[in-house]
Amino acid sequence: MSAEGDRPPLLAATGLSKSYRQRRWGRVVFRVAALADVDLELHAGRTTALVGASGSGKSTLGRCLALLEAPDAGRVLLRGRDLVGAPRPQRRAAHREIQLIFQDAAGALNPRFTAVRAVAEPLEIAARGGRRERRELALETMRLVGLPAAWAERRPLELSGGQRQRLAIARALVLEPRVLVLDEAFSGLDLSVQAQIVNLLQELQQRLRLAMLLISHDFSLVGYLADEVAVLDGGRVIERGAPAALFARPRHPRTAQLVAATPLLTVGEGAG
Amino acid sequence: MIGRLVLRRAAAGLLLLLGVSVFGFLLAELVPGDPFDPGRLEGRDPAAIELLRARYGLDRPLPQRYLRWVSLTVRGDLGYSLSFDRPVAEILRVRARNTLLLTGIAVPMAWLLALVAGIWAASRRGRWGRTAFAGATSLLLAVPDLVLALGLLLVAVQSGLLPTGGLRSLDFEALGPLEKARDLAAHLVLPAAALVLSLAPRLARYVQASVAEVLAAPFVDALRAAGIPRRRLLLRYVLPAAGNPLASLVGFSVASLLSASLLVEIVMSWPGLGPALLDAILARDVHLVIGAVLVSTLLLVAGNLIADLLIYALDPRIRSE
Repeated sequence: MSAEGDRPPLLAATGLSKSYRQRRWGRVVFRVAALADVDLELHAGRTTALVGASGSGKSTLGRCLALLEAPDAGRVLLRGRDLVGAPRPQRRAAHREIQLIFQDAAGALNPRFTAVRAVAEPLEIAARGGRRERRELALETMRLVGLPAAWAERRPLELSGGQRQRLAIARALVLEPRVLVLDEAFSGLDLSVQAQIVNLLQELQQRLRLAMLLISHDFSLVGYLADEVAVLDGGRVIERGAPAALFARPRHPRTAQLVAATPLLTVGEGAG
Repeated sequence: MIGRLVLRRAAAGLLLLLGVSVFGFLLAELVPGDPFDPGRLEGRDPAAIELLRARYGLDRPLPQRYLRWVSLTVRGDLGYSLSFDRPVAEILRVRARNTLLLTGIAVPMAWLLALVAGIWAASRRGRWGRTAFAGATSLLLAVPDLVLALGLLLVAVQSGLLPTGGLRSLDFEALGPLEKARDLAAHLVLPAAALVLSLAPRLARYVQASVAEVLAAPFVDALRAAGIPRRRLLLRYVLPAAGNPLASLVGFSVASLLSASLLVEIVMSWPGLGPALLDAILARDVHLVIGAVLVSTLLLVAGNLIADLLIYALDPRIRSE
């Protein structure tokens, strides 16, 4: 953090708050704060991890950063420019720089589209290139994530979980984003596939200077991949720091609980 | 590929028709008396009645009669209607055409309304739009079709703006072609409106549910992350993805409209299959009853076939199999 402290962040959230309300007959009967005054910075070429118990607001933060949900208060700044209140065309352009990879790759891919079409679709939406160019670029991006052209005409259901996740990554990368939000993107995968995709992402991060937000339960993965960790609890960031230090000497009792509940941590440091 | 699908469905439809005809025959058999019962046909020439009895083989046992009826039916002779004093096929041809005219207008209109309202309601993020949608559809669903039809009739009578029954005005034959079309359209408004109002809320609920479900799918988030405008998202991606369950509803919509039109046709005296079936049942006009039921079944089978073809056209996954 301190090394990057002088440089302006690529994407930053300041004072982000979001609550979900349930109403009955117009009255709010239930209200839960998903995010309360959260600050977070993502830097080019670096990985920030977001950990916390279920319901702590991790995914909401990821979705707010990816502009998929509007915060009640606070700002999302891309290169210092606020996106929350920005006019729609500007938001749309910013959208393309921030891509999300979901836990459920099967659901994240339109089951009706073939692999190559799924990857080419964002290009079509962004009105980039002609049909043939888009297809070429899609195939190239698929190669980049290790999906051979022979798989181009398969549909998601004809692919394995790991291949689907690769496809989702290819789709996210095809627009050449600057920021990747990985929302539990590895949880459904077995360890060898996980390792392949993690290596792939690391490689891509170095090559493309991607800023990554890693939302994960898996502390060993976080320890391996992240440069900085933020711990979320009840919608607040209760602690942040370098993963090794934070896991070894948690200061906040909730962090200590989380760490204690994760038996894998002991092998975490050596897992890579 | 598509040919085999049609063939398979057609074969299944044929089997269904066969089953319905057997069932119809058995039910008709349970009704006491027969259509050529001399007691019910006073004043008619007994020799002619005997001729008809022989022609339809009413003196023979049931299985034989059934087979005979089938062999006549496949040749297009559905028997003779005593209450209308005409061949059944002739009556049904006109009646089915009228019912088709009515449902052929009501089904697309109901779908159009349901799609617009359902998509609108599903894409509302605020509460008021959804509450209004839920309220309006619940209200319409709660009103029985009969009350709806009578209410529309009442409005028409009070306002005097629209004809309140029948297919055409008394002076229809004297009108020019354009006026004929206008006269027919005016007569269509009330029964079509009754059918649309009974069917559209049901369909709109389905549309809303399946569109909302697709909107919540992660792949929609992925599209939004590519910066897609909302209208394009809804029409190009969400609607086709929500289309499968909806396309299978097309068959259901034809079926429920056929049964609703039975009632609406009777209330609004639209000369379709509905009143014919009612008259036939009351007059124990067995051949006409079975004929009307068969034609309804045929329309139903056709509706489902259209639904299957729609799914085939809409879903690339089925096409590539």
